[in-house]
Amino acid sequence: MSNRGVDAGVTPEVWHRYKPQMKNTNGGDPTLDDAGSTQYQTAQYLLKPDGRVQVVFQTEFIGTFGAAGSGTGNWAFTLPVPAHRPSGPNTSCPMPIGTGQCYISFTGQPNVNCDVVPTIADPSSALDDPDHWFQAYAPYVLDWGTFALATNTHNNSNSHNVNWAFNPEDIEVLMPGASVSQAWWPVNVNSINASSLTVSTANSASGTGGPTNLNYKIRAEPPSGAGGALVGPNVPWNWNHWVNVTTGPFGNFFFHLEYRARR
Amino acid sequence: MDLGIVNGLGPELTWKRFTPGQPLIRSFSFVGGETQLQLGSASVVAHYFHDKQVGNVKYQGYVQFDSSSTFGSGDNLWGVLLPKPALRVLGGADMPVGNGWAWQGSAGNRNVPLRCTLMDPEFGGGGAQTNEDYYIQFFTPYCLATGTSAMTSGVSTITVTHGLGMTPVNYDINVILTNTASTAPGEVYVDNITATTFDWHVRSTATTTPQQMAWKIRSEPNGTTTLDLLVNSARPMGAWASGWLLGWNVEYQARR
Repeated sequence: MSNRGVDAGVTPEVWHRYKPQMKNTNGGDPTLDDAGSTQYQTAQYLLKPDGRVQVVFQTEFIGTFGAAGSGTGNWAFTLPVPAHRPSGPNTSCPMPIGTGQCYISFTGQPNVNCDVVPTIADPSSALDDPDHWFQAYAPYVLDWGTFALATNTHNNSNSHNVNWAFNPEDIEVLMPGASVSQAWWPVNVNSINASSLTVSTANSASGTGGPTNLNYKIRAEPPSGAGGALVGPNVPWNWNHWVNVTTGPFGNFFFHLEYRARR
Repeated sequence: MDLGIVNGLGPELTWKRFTPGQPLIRSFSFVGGETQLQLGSASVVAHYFHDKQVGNVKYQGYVQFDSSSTFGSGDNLWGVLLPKPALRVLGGADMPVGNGWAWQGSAGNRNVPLRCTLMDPEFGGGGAQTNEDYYIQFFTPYCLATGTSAMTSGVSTITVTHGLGMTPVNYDINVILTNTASTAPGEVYVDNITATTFDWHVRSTATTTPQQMAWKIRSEPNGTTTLDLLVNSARPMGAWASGWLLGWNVEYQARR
C-alpha cells in the first residue's frame, strides 16, 4: 500500500474508539459479541470543538440470534457523548441524525438487510439519560417461509413470525411450491393474529396426494402505537426466530451518525 | 452522568436554531397554479451549523403536522427551505446531500426512508425558475397505499379508490383474498388503473357470500411529467394528515 503515512495537511489522529452497547427499553437486553478478537463490535467517534459529533457504529450478536433478547421494548444504542435534543429535554425527537442498516448475515440465507432511520432515543424509564442513546425506525417488517395445507383439508392454521396481527395485504407472495394434485380455488388468508393465520381454499387443495406447501413472504407495515416501527427484537424481522443462523461474522447493525453534542 | 460541558468543546456559537421568516416548506409545480401547503401550528424543529472555514452547512430538522395544517394541491413536489443557499455543482442538481424520512407518527407508524437533493432548477413557485438553490427536495423509492374491498351479491367488478398520489401499474398492485366465497371466483384480476382508482374483477359472481380482498400498492415511481418520485402533498403514503412527519438530515456546500 503506497499511502500508509499521514497525508500532507492531515492533523494527528483525533478519532476515538468506544464500546457500543444495546439496551432493550422494556425487556431482556441482547447479548453482544464482546470477544476482544472481533473487529465487528466497534464504534468510533470524532468530537469536533464546535460541538459536532461524527460516529461510525457496528455491533453484532454473539453466537446465534437467540442472543437477541426479548420483551416488548425497542432497542437503544449508545452514543459516545450525550446529544443536544433540539425538541427540548425529555421529549421525543424524530429527527434523523444519520443513516443505518440492519443486516442478518453474510452466511445465512437470505442475506437480508434493511435501511433504517436513526434518531435520538425517546425518553424511557429504562434509559437513565436518553440523550446518551439513539434508536432507529424501520420501514417494514419481513418474514418468509412456508405455510401448509394438510392432505385433503380446506384450511389450516399456520404460525408466522411477525409477532403482531399484521394485515392480509402485507403478504406479498403466497404461491404453491409445486404442482397441486387437483384443481383448487384461489387461496385466501384470514384469522391473522400475533402468532398465526389460517390459509383456506374451498376445495381440498391437495386432495389425497399429500400436503401442499405455500411459499410466502410478508412485508408488513409497522403496527401502530409508540415504538411500533422501532428496531427491536421483532423489527425489522424476528431476530430470535433465526436461531439456526450463525451471526455475522460481519455485524448486525451499522450506523453513520452526525449530531450536535450537549453542553 | 455528564450533564455539564463535554471536555474539549468550545462555547456554543456555531449551531443555530433555524426559524425562517418565510415558509419552511413550499409547494412547487411544473406548470404553476399550485395551492401552497400551510404548516399552521405544526411542530417545527430545525437547526444548522455553518462551518465557515470550509463552507459546509449541516442542517437537520423535522416538521410534524397537526390538525391546523393543510397540505396544498396541484403540486409536483415539496421543497424544504435551506438556512443558507447551496452551491449548485454543475449538472449536479440531483446529487444526494443527505437523507430524510416520512413518518405517519406513532398513531400509524408507516414510514418511508427518503433521499434529499437540491431542488431541481426548473422549478419555482408558480413555474418560474427562481430560488432552487434555497431548497431541498425528497426522492421516494416507492409510494404506498393499502385498503380492503368486497364484492356485493352478484357483482363481478368493483372500483377501488387507491389514493396513491400517482398512477400505479398492474404489477404494483398486490391482492390477497380474505374469505372463501360461496361460488368459485375463478380468475381475480385488476385493470382500468388511473391516478385515483383501479377496478378488480372476479370471473364468477357469488350471491350468498361474495368475494372479499385486501390490497396493497407499493408502487415504483413511473410518471414522465408528474415527477412521481418526489415527495409532495400526496406522496409517498397518500394524502398527508395530522400527526405525520417529514424529517431531514443533510450537509451541503454553501454558495459564496
